[in-house]
Amino acid sequence: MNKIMKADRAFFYGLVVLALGAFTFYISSSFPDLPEGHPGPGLFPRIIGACLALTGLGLIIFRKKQDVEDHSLDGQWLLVLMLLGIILMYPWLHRFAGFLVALAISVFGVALLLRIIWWKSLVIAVLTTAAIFLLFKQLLQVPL
Amino acid sequence: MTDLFSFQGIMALVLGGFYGAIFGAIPGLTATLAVALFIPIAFFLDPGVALPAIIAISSVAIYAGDVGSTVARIPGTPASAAYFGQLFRLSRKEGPLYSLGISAMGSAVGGVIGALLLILTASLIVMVARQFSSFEYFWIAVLGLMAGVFASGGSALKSFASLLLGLLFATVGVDPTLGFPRFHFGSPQLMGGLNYIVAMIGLFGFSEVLNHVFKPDKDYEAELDTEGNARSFFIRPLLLVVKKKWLVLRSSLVGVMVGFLPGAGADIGSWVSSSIEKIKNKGKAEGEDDDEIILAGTSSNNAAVASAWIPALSLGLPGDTITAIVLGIFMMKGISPGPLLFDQQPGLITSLYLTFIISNIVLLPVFGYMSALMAKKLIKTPMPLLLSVVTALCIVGSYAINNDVYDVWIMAGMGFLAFFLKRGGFPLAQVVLGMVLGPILEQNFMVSAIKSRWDLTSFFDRPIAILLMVMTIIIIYLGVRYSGRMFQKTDIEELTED
Repeated sequence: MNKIMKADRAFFYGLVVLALGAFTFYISSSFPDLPEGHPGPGLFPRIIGACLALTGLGLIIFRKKQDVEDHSLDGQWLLVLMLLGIILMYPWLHRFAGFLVALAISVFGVALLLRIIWWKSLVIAVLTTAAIFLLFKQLLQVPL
Repeated sequence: MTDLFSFQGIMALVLGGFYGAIFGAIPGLTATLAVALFIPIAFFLDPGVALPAIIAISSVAIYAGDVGSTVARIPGTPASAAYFGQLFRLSRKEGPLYSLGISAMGSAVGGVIGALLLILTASLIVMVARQFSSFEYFWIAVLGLMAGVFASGGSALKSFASLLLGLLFATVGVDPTLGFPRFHFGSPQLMGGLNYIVAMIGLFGFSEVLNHVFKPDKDYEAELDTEGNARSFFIRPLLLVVKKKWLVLRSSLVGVMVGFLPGAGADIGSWVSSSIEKIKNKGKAEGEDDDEIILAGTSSNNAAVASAWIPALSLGLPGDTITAIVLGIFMMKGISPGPLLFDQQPGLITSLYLTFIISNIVLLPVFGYMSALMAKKLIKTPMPLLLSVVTALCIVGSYAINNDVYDVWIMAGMGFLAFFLKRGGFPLAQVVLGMVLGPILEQNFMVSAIKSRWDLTSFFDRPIAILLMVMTIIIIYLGVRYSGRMFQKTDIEELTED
């Protein structure tokens, strides 16, 4: 996948938009029509799907010649995925450990991921969680 | 409703201005991010406090983006990127306090001009909007969407794709006209639709964290020191503004016009005005016109910040990403923008107008001077520390609004989408525009169609509807013809989004 993205970024994005448009059109085709055959809840999604598919096609057809120096997709993909992983784990952590502990663990993980040394990460996690608790729970009285 | 001149109101202005000055001065942190991180707090505050705070944050943060350009040649915000070379060159010649002073005074005067035009025009537009039926609101939404496609300054196809994505997100959940559930994939949480505020936090907050993780910033060092006296910051620049009053007025008016266009905003305003000045001064020796280009850019961007509120307050169309966030707060608080807002909450409208004037006359110069003096330290703020805090705010913000952990996933998903779009050069403001205008477009189309028994010629019957349709056609024609010409030499798409 990464190779395709690097080889032709515009083609890759065009393809994604085209596929999303086709998928939207397909799903919304099953939405019911109004009595007397007038368009119903599927009308707008169908128009959006068709426009997305055409725009995707346009992005592919009218793409500029790929710049060999394009590095916009070169970067720390692994770190991005790990960060997403931490956030996606948050709801489970929350269920088992409650809001404060789950937030502190998540911030600690993010700080470690950002290459902050472990004891500083721990301090940041504790202080950030405490500050958020004070601001939201105590000052704004938000149920957390 | 809390009064602007109550203790809470004044504290909101002061803390908002302070937060905007610090946040905007740190390279890589934008005014939109500052406002996005404030959403969870704003949501739990009285609108009479939250909205003035947002105005104070955005007005000061846009200016503070020039701090990085001045002392270290790093544009702090995309708006600042339009003239950062001139700012740094002038700083070397005349001292950083003087060039930041020009930026602050230009911003303040531009902001006041924008605010005055906001006060004058919003009420006039509301008077016209009182005549609107569902047909006119449908055409207003179409006009806003088309203006949004061509206002980004980058590829119209990519803008259109972003807009369609936003429109698609707006269709998730129960259809507002007929009550049919769409794109919920069996999830009860998606039945109610994508939470707009949660989506904003992901799109503008969490995506920034992903961007910084993906391509970490190097450590910045200030090359110039901001030592000096207040005279360099206040008096000399103010005299320059008086001397170049027509340039400031012209650039502010350009900013007002650009800011009014849905999806354009301060960044584009700044680029257009400084480009005009660069074209006008062609042939002058290098460095001779630096002060004029800076004045043009700064007065234009703060004028655009104010004018973006004109369509937002009077018609419910977001002029920029910040007003899109504001409209989201309106929705969540059950406030309807447009004539109803002006009729039912005149106190809120007056306090918003006053906030613009106070922010530009008092907060911007005061906190602007403060951030100028702190420039050296702000440039060196450790980014990993900030990003950890930003992530925590994104989690708590998305969770606290509905007390639903599922929203944290939505926020993360939106953040990744925004990160992915940015890497491809797709603008984000258009996604938000689609999300805001989607329901207006669909609901008013369906209501009008059902009302007229599907006689679609009724969409072209009413004079104001025809006028709006003609304006849409003109925008499409001008957009197709001139789109991208102004920015041929500078890829604004990359600069405004990265």
